[in-house]
Amino acid sequence: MNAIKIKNVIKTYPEFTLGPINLEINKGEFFGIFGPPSTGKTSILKLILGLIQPDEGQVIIGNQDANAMGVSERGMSMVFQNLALFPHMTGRENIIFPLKEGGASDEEISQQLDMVSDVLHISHILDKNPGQMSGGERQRIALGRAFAANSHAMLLDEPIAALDARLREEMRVELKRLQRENNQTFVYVSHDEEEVMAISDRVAVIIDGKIAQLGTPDDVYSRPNSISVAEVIGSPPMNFFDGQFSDDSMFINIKSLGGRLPVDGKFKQGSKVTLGIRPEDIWLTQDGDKYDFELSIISVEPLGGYTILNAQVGNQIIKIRAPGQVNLAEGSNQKVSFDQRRIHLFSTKGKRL
Amino acid sequence: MSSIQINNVTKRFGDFTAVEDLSLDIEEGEFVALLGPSGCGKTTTMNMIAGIEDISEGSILFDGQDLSSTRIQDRNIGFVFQNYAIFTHLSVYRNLSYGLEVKKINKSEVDSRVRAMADRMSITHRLEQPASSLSVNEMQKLAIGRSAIVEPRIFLLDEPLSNLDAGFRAYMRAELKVLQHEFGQTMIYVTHDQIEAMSLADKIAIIDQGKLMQYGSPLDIYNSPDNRFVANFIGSPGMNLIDGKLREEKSQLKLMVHGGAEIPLKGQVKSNFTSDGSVHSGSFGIRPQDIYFGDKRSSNDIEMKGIVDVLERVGPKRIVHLQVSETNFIAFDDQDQLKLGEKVSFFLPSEKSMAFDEVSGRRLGVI
Amino acid sequence: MTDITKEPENSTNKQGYWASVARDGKKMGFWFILPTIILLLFIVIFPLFMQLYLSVTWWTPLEGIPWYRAWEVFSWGDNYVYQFTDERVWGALWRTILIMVVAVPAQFFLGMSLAYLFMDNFPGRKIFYSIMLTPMMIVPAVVGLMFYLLFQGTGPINVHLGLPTTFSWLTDVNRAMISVIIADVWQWTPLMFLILLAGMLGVPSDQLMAAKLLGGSNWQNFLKIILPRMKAVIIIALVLRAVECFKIFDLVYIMTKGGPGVQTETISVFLYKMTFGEFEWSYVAALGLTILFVLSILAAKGLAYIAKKDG
Repeated sequence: MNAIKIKNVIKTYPEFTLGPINLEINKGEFFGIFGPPSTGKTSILKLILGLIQPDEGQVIIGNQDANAMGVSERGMSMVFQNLALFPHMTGRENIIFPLKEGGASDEEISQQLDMVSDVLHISHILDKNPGQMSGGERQRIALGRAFAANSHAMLLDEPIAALDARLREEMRVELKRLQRENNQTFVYVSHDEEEVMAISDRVAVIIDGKIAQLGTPDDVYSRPNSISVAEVIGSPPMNFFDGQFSDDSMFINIKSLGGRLPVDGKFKQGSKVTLGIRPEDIWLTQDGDKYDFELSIISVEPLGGYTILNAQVGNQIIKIRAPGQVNLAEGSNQKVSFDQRRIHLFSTKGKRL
Repeated sequence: MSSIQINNVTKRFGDFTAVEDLSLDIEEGEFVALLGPSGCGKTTTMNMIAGIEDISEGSILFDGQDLSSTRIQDRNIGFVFQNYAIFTHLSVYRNLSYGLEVKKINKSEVDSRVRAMADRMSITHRLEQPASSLSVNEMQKLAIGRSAIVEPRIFLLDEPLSNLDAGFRAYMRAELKVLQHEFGQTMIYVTHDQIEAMSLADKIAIIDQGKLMQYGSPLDIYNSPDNRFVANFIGSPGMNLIDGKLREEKSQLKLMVHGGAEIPLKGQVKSNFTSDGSVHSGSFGIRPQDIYFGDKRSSNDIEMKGIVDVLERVGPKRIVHLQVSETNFIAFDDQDQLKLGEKVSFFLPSEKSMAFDEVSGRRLGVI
Repeated sequence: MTDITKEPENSTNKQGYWASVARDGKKMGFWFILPTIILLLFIVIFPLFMQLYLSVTWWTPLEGIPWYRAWEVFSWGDNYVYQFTDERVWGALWRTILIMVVAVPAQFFLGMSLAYLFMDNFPGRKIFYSIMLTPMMIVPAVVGLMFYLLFQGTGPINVHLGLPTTFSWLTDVNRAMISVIIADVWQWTPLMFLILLAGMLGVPSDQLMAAKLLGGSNWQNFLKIILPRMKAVIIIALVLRAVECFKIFDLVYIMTKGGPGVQTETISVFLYKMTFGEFEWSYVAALGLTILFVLSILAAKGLAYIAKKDG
């Protein structure tokens, strides 16, 4: 049964058009929406919540057409990007506001309040006013307010963006746990792809106002269906090379690397292709591998558990992710080979082959 | 190009001490990151270097010179603000030329230098346009170019990459590193993102609540954290730090974790914990990538049993959260085999584990 | 709690205009504004039409007929034509412009300098700020009386400047105008100060700091960063004050009654005398409308410039 369904929705803005969007979010699902900034992700949340109406198409909630439903009737909570905390109320008053308005009992209110303050580590700031809190504290109060309401669906718009990296990692896990325990439907919007991919059951990648790919994080990561999706998922991003199939279509020739790779499958002889390979799928080799390339290392980023190497070929910077701590001098040459199982091929139009 | 010596600097705002007795030696041409959580005092420290804030106690010397009586406009310090502070009412050209114009340099020299910098930052095509029309990424390049063009003695950057989208951030990291080598300037970089600090800096100064926690190269700090705070802060995902009390039980030393779990201590990590007789409670540290599954590899490796609580896909890796009583261990599921709710055995190699004193946070067993 | 899969209980699916008003912000806005619009209609629109009606007649209250029968003394555009040849009108106009051209720049420079001083915090800033604003808060008539007394031949100004009591300000043909201008500048500089300070504080402080770090001196930064960003505010302040100058009445009337002779007779003083002295109401109506028309065009031009700049 669907909790939320978006059918052929189009919303026109002066700068771009959002849609047509077709989405089905299942009950109890953690659904992520990812895309570059200002491409309509927040608008999708607003359409679901009812703050804006679609120009065309329908938003269906439960099995009802949501057009006739006011915002307060949809049974959803939203955490806004700008938090929208009530500045004249304390943290506690902010959090219990939806419960009070909904007519919950004092007992229920205090129960919910305790639950959220515990999980979000906000007990010490409940009596402060938003003006006295740091950005991260305000964000957690906003989360608390949405959680305490105990609605059936939560819409979150970049809810942990203002927090420090370490706190973000923790909060991510907590959000996932909360969602699972309460069996709530979560719709989570973020422009941080790592975050969305880590936390969601399924992800919709929005590019230029349309859904470029929808699937599990594994699907989207391992089998991006177009260059535009491949280049936004993964940090550091995928490396792309222009190539051409050989006349017997058994190899791809890559001019910039001065080499070639064998390919498996039926491809058009001599046609042009774009080859994509993720940084972690480029291996450093010592002995001559049959299909290796030589690159010049221009910088080394030691990240402790792994190392990012920036190599240069012509005008292009290639990113390589090597496990552990690699000791390579800047300016040295290094032979690399590609994991042939993890090559992504895209047509000249950008679609996956 | 200047070396900077921060000597016992303290900054107080009324009752609140933002920076306490901070000392740092930055060499000429070095790229140093000031790393720490929000509110730790890193931006305040940088503002003191720039002269935007006064120093309450201590001194900051540039090549041995104290500039505290020199006014800001004469210090020749390059500063890139977090929100770039581009002159939005001026064109890109005028933004770049501002620092040269106020020095009354002649027009033709200004022009050639502006064009060279615009070329270097790849924004030549935007020169005549209003600076407010640039994208965030371009604004960042402009902010850097604007400061670099006056060839300052040092370059200060306040969380310059935090506003950029992830893809561009990775690209700019590489760019910044190249730029810094080219300009050869001493660069100080404030960030709360330890990945950024690790990838860019020659040396990292980790600051917490106004105090210096550790100062060293990225790998030194990663491999040899001086204290629990540093161990927790550096590394993505963060090190597992399990707090508990030490207890001797049937001639076996165990860490009784506050959440209920028990970690039997063996080998290197056991001797680390016992190295200081006064320590009765501490933290057990092990990095996620050092935890392994399957068969025990060494007799000194510690076996634990837990339940798979959460599985996260982060980039190419799968992170697994293992629950032992009420304690969480984070590890990597390299074989991609674990399932939610599964009971599993995992191992903590004692040679790679670290011991920290709970009270002071310092790492135990280090000479 | 609401189960999103069921039909909502308290559905406000009522048909009806008022329910949709409750939902639609724009519709609600209209109904809220309506009382104000009605008020405006009576206070502004209606009298304006009355004025227009009178201006095309020869009517005065001395005619003996009630105003709504003014059509009996229709005059078409005669009043308007007469304006252009009336020497006294031109004189008053010239004097008003003179005040504007001297007083407004004076207030502007004073206000700008004071605003710059107040930009950064200093001890006692709040107290000084309140003191700075007091002249503006005093009723213009009272200010007029104040300066009337100050500028007396036997008054404190002469005493402190060491001038003889025969040295007159308010009755001297040349100096009367100077006294009026001084009074106006004193009263209204605070307004300039207020508006310009607001504009100055609107300049992002980090951009100013960036300019300083790039080596810009305070004066250079003022010219290149602060001033350009204040363009809109400066125009508003100047237009506001310039238009106000046309209305200058209380100060002048109390200090000099427009004298000596007509030496300080501004447009407003002239209109006053015409209305309550000579009862030439239809003429005044025409004059009033002409001034309104001219000022509206000037103000519109100024505002259009701002709108363009804001982009």
